Amino acid sequence: MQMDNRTFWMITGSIVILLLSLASIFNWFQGLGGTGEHAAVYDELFTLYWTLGSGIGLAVYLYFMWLLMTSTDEGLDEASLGQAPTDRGDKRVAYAITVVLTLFLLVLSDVTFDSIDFFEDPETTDESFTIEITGYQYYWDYQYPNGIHYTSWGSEPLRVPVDVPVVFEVTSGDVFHSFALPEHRIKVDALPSRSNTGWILAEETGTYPVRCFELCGDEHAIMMGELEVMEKADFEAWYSSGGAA
Amino acid sequence: MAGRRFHSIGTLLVVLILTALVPSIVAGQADSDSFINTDEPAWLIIVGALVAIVLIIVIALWRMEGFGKAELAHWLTTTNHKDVGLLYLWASIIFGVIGMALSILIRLQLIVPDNEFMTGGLFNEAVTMHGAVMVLFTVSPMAFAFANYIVPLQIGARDMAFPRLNALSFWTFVLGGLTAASGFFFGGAADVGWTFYSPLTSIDYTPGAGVSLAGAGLVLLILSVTGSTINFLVTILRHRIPSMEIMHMPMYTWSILFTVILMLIIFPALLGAVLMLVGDRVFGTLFFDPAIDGTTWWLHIFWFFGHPEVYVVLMPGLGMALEVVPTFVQRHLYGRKIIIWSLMVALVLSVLVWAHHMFVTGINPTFRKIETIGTELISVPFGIVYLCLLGTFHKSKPDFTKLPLAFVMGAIGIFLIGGITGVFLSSVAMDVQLRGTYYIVAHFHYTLGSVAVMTLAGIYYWYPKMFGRMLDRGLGWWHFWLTFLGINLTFIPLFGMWDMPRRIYSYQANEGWATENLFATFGSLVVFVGQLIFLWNFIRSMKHGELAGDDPWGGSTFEWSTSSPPPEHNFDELPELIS
Repeated sequence: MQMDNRTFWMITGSIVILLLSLASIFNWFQGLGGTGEHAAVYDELFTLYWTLGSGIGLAVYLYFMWLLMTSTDEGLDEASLGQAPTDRGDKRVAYAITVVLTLFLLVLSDVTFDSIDFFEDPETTDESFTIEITGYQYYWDYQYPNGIHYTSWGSEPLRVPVDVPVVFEVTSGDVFHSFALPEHRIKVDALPSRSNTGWILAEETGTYPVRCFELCGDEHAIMMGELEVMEKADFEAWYSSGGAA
Repeated sequence: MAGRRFHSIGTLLVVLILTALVPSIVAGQADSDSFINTDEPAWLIIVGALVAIVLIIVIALWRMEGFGKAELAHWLTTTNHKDVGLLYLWASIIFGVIGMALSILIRLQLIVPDNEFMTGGLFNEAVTMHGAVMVLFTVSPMAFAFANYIVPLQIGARDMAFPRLNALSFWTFVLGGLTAASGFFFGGAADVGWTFYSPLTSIDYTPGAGVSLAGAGLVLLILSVTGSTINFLVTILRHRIPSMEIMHMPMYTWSILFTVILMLIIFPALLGAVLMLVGDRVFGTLFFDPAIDGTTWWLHIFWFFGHPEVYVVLMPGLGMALEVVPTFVQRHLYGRKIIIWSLMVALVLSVLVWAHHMFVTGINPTFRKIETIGTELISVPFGIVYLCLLGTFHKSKPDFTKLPLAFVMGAIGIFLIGGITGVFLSSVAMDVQLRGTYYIVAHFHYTLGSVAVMTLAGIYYWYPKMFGRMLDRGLGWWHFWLTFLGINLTFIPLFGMWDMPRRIYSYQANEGWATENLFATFGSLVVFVGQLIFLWNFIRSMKHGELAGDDPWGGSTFEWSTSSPPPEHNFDELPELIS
């Protein structure tokens, strides 16, 4: 064990930093306060990745620390100048890593595919309806099936009823935007001449931020809106009155 | 010597024609009213960076040769691979200063909520040019700097296979970088993100000259890269000393071989994309017409280039780490052949997974699943390389008092975080939320940051060979700790801001991102101070550093068998490899 001061600090420092970063991802994640079924599915997936990721990261660091502790004066085989490099190492190590990592990743893929299928196949009911959302520099245009039509420019929120699956058909009227409801863990890219689908099942009433997540020009930062999740009766009243606030 | 004169004239003509293209594009589009908007305080920093660059050039010339006409002529006309390597080194340092200044601008704008330091337009210019300059004009040329200087020495060659092509590559690269950056003075540089997503790049939405200038700059860069690629391929494959079989090549030479092969595959895609884009903007073609789904077309073709480009940037840094570790831990590299084969597999996989940048754009769901699996599988070969690198430390005798090893240690830590957070992103479902957020920004700065730190290891490792003197150790340790801690301080908080969109120039206090942004800005300033110390150390040690001798580290590859710096013809007597 030949660890001088500098080694010690370097190892300690890197472990602390690894822990900090993983903790930071997780903490802020917890603090974000998601809502609805999407968030539950997504957060479960994230927690799985986070647990496995930090576990593997920590294991690798501990392994590395152990390797540093094996430091020795004997059996060194330093190459000398002008000598062809000698190969050492066991191919079986590579095969083992390949098999283990591949299996591990395939399991992760399987979980991932279940989640993405959930995100992308709307579980609609009789009450469900589709809102057509079109992105423009720098606002969203909302078109309801019964003809209600307005934009986020006047700070009017996108209104949806609680406990009803609502489908979004997202496209763009000019450049590349990305329609996102961070707290419902939904993000749908808005491309001109393409229509992409997303959906939410809001479980709590309240207002939530709507954001654009693709650079769409100088004022990309202000392309914000609000989502208002309303009681069913309130929504019905607003909806049947043709959008009178 | 008629042939030689013909070549020189031809070279000159190519450069002149390409240069002439630039003003013609500018003339068509420049908005003369907005030639440097001095109302914006941010311009002080850009002007400051320019002054710093001029200072660096002046000091570098003074340190290296003096100011005589002969010296100047030497540096302008040299074709020696070592001189070209040094030119690349200085050029990438200068572009690095530009990239760094732009990053400081970005961080200063985001330091507090609702900041009015910059407008959205200028902020977007800074974001775009920071990305383009850092990836394409700083890290990559830095790799070429060492590849030029070190590879011929490592394989026992007297020079590159095509020395004049090499010089042409360098000067077109400089011209390309200047062209791309010149947009700042012609009504605004490109402000559409370094990914240049269509249709924001079309003349309808972004009428200024910036995007076209960036396009012209990229064409020049691609020309330069293509020349270098051919040059390195021929040099590495045909100009090794006869006793060096291909499997005996040093790891750094291997990594450059992989880099240029990958470049040869992907840069034509970028050339096609850029030519079509400039065609759309200048000549009115309709390749990326939104009506025929031009956006998706751009995404496919750009990311076919853009994703492997990450590995183009990574490979040389990895090669440096693979060279440094065995030298300082006094063991042979663990699994040398395993590493070489793994990198080959990674190279192949890397050109097959571009669509993971398009998970939410509505592409074919089955294709997306294939891309998810492919992307995850990339972590297998890199996992193997990483563990082999760590395995080299087993029963070794590492000398942590040596700076190159310290930097590699730092890079090992940073790369692990970048790699693990990358596995999150390979998942198509995780990507739904993380796409376009600061989580992504943190992830790729961790991967590219580790490359930068590995490259610094390479600089500390080969500086004695290039200048015959050692870098100062005290300043070096300051540089190491400020860089390592600064990078982490900057990017750890960004992982937490996984609901903050990228590239927004302003946010509100109630969105809960203020603390993280404050920390990140502080961290970026720490990194900045670290690099200033490095720059000072770099320039100072050229004259005042401790004399290095031929082989200060006990390295075993051929560059250490000749004097420091090597004579013009590299070796008085060509070395032999004993197997």
